[in-house]
Amino acid sequence: MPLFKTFKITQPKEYYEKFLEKDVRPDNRELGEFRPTVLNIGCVTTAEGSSLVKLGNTSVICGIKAEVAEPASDGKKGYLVPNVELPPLCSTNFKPGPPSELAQVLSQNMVDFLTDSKCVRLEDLCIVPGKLVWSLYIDLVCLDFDGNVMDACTLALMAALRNTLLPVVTVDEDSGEITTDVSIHQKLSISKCPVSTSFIIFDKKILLVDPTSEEEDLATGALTIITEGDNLCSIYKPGGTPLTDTQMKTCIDRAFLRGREAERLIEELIDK
Amino acid sequence: MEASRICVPGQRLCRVDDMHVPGNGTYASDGFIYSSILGYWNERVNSESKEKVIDVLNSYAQTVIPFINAIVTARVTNINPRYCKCEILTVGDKPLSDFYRGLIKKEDVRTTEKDRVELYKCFRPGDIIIARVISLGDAQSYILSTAENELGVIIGMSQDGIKMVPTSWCKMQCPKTLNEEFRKVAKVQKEYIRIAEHFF
Amino acid sequence: MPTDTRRITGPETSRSPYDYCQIEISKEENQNELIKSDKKRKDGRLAAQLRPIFLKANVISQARGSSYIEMGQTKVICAVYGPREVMRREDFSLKGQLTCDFKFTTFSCRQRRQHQQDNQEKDLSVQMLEALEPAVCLHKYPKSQINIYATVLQNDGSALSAAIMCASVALATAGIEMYDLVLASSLGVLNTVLLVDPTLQEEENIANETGKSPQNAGTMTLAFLPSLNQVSAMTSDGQFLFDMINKSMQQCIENCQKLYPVLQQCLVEDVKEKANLTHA
Repeated sequence: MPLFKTFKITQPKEYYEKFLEKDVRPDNRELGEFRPTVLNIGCVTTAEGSSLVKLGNTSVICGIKAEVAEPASDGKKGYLVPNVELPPLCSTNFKPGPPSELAQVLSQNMVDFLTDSKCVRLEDLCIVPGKLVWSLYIDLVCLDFDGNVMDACTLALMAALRNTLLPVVTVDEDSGEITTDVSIHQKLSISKCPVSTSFIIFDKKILLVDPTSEEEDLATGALTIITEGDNLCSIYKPGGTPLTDTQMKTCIDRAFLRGREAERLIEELIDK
Repeated sequence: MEASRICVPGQRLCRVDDMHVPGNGTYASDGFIYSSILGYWNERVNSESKEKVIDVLNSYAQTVIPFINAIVTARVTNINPRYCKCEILTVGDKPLSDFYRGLIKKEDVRTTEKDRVELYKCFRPGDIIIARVISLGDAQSYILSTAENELGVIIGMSQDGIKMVPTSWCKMQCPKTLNEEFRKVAKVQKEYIRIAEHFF
Repeated sequence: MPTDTRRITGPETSRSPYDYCQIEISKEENQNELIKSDKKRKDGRLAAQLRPIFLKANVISQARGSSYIEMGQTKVICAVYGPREVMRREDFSLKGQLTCDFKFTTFSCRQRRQHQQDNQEKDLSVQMLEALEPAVCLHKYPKSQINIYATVLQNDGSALSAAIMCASVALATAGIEMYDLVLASSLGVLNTVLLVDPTLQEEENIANETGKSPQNAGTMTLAFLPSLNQVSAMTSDGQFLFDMINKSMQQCIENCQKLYPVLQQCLVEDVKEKANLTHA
């Protein structure tokens, strides 16, 4: 029905309202329903750790390259360097060149996600105190931008960290010479599994979980909740329409549910 | 069965001769007809010349760009006394992969009293219009025209942001405030009445 | 080095742990090592054997056309956008524009790559464009541009030919009018040995030999329009004796012809899949 398509382009908001009146979204989901989540690890063998996450159409690939570096002011702390790339490949919204504003925001979100949840202790990345530490370059490349890249990124990030294998690096005490043994590998010690859940606010009252990019374009506000097991890690609400107490409570409950679901997904995959 | 044969670009389809001529999605080279897109083989008979026209059709991946004489749907973006700028959303009923810029000059708005046209009494930013492409224009915009009864504003927003109802060829009324605003209203075709009933 | 304010930066300097390996992996660099005594290569292939190919169309929902290719461990994803309006203000043109953007992800190679496009990537972008441009009916797209973005997720040699074929499939699924599909094949030559579809290690070994002896030592990539029987682009690195160039090109064309059914099959499957979706 071509006229139907025209209606969607000329009046996207009215198009959505017609669906939401009946508590359903154009892709047949309920308002609180996530898209099918597909997780894959170890897909890039040139990286020390890698994962691919698909949330419906949205897909993000994560690759972790480990390098060795000197610690800052003879400390014991290693480095975690997450960067989110939104290349022109993934959507018409992005042009070639330096990272877009959204990419910068997402990269900073990843830093906050890692530091707030303390899922990787930076001290664990120490090889020789004061001399040599690991620096993990975590690059998240969005391959298909169909909304909720934040949740796809955090999931990909956690899966890739769990998948990471580092070669054993030793430093000779006398000569200071560094040697790498590629025959043995060690895993990163990760105790926690934080999960993010994102919502958008449509038409100043309706909350939608796991928005597609069309839904994000129409949103009057957004909300991301990060949970870890039974704990609430952080809530990120960058302006937009204000929310009531009850609405906030609903979102938090939904986020806990999603948190356990995503955690189980990662565990199942790692056990394989 | 040839009718449902799938062709890939560059596939040789048949010889060019008195009876076979290349149609859409094909090209002729060295006496042969080749497919130029991915799609289905289709044959139709030209009623005048009785030649068989070979097409390759693909309804899933049609690339369309505005062409001269095409009827387009566009959203008005800004207006000044000399011209009105808009972004073209669809060509016919086919959505564009990305919006193209269009421009309506003051003299192309309507057929009568061309010199007395006041553009801000014809269009407002945000209005959805139907127009005809009259020229490929310059490096930036296509030149559009609404100088036909069937062309002009189809969806007009009042100052309160409410969809207005057409009352005459040059006026629309806001159903909430009952204020009348000037527009170059399109004489709505039957098909649009059908969607209007369906959705609004 | 200037600091990148738009990205999260790590320590000022860091090195790959593999720089400190005691047994240098790439020290065994002579012809005898490229082809072992049982006439097989390191990965068990014969000299004239291609790696298995996996090709899938329509992998990116936001793009007009897209595809993903795996040749052994080499993995490339490609998206086509357009035809769309030319953004930069340029002269009126009745012919469409084609652009190519080739990128390695930072984790695609053994050594970590930078975020910004480096010279090698710019070079490969141009080579890709040259291979694809002759196949696209640009006169059908006045005032418009068609953008091709190729990203290498993992590089294990022959990335350029993988990207060209991937882009050619993506263009076809985008419904862009083309004179023909574009196939591509790479080849490494060391002395008298021709290695088809070389891996990254083979490419590196050959590059190390270049200039050390007056013999052949180089790699070649050739793009081919199978139906029209035309070569759209040919690029080579290193040194080739005159006879060898002809022989290598012949071999590349042969390989391209072997790959043609793979691309055809992939596109036919794609059309069928879409037809099923709309009927369901």
